Amino acid sequence: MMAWLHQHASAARLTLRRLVHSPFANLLGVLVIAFALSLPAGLYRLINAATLLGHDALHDPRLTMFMASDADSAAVRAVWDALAVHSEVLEFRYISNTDALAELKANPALADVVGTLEHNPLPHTFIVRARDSSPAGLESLRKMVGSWNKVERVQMDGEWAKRLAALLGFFRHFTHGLAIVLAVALVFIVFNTVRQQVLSARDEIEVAHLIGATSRYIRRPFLYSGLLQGLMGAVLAFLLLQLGSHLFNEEVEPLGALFSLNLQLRPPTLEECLLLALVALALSWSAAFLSVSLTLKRLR
Amino acid sequence: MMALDTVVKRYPDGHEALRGITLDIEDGELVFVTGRSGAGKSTLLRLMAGMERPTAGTVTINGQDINRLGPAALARLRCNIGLVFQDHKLLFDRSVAENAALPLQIAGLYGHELRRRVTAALEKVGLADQAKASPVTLSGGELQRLCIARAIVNRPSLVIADEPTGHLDQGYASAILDIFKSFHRAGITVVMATHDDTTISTLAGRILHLEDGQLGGDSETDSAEYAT
Repeated sequence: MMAWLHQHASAARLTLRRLVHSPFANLLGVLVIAFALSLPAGLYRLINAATLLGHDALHDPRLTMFMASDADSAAVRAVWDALAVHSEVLEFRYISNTDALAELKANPALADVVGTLEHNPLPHTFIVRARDSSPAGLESLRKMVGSWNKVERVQMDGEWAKRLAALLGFFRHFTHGLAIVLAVALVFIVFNTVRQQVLSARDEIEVAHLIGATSRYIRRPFLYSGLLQGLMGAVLAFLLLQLGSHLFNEEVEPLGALFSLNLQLRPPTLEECLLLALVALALSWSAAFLSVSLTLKRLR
Repeated sequence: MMALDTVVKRYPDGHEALRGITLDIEDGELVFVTGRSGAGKSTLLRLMAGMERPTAGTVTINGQDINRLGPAALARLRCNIGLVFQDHKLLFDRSVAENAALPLQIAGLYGHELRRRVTAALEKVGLADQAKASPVTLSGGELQRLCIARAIVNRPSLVIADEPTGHLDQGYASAILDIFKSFHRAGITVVMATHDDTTISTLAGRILHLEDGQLGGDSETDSAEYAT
């Protein structure tokens, strides 16, 4: 057992020696691996964040009823009463034009613009949750309440979320494709780096083979080299994701606040980090194994 | 120790290097393999070392038919054979001691026992004081001695040497032959390919003469110097 451990430790030392011997080529490989991992991982995280954004609107669709600008309190009251007794309405919320304006004024980014207005241009608004949230049920309710007196426009809040979901679906497929292409690139990079290492250690391999080294013994340091590259690539990819999240949040979060949207990328979770490392290690080990086996076969 | 039975070795290009060789080598023998260049000496040694398999016939080393051994078992068999090459096959980016230690590392030895055996092997060939030096700084004779140290560090019962004095002048060659003489005295089986008559006249042993891939002669030689 100790001899086995010692052989592995010896292979690891040899791997590190080779890494130090040609740091530039290895560093370049690690950088490319890191980008190959972080790009699809970053896109997935972005898509997931955007999906969460539209999730509520998709799963709990609401109608927003905008009253006509000349609607008086009696008209508003009539709509209120009608909604209160309507069997298709689960619940509703009323936002007066005064409250809406006050909400805008409370937003520091818009306060200046709102302050220049001579009169309140905002309509009285009802936000309605339908009992039947199916597209057909919502459409039926939308048509009905849209025909009521002084109701100028009825908007389905889920529409934008549906469009967003369709768009995200496309990007998700695109990211799947990109991830596959970059995984192939990662395999190719590790394959090529290990192949170069095998070729440059040709003499050493020949000597080891002649004096009784098994193929497993000869392969071992090269497999470690592949694993090390994958691991370093994963660590660097994690750092790139952290940096990307930080830059994204810094730029986009204030923009989201203008639309009352929580546009924020959370840091990668432990599970995500482990998954990233596992994918990197599995791909790099496979690439190294393939490379060292094929190159040794050719050398012999 | 070793038996070859009607061994044929044919290379992919059709060249037949060995044609029906049959011989036995007993434990503790000192055997010279002689013959002109291209007679098949190196091929015979490679088969004896388990580095190649015969095209036909059988090669049995320590009771194991190498045709029946898988790659890993064959590698383990090679671990117990000391190999000395004419071109040394040393690693010049490692120290003298690290080169000598390589077979032990492959065999899974480590720590104090590894250092002890490396020191003993280097002392045997007179290189103990250069353990930390780079092989680049060694002379031709010293490189060959390092190659011998690497061959015996695993305490093999069989040492196979391919033209160990081929590139050396008389002084260095004599020192190398003295080392092989001491191995033989210690009971190690030594098989040495050479085309140098001086080498054979210095040591007493068995001569296998190869001619065009066939065994042309199997005789004994004696040496007054060796006998003393």
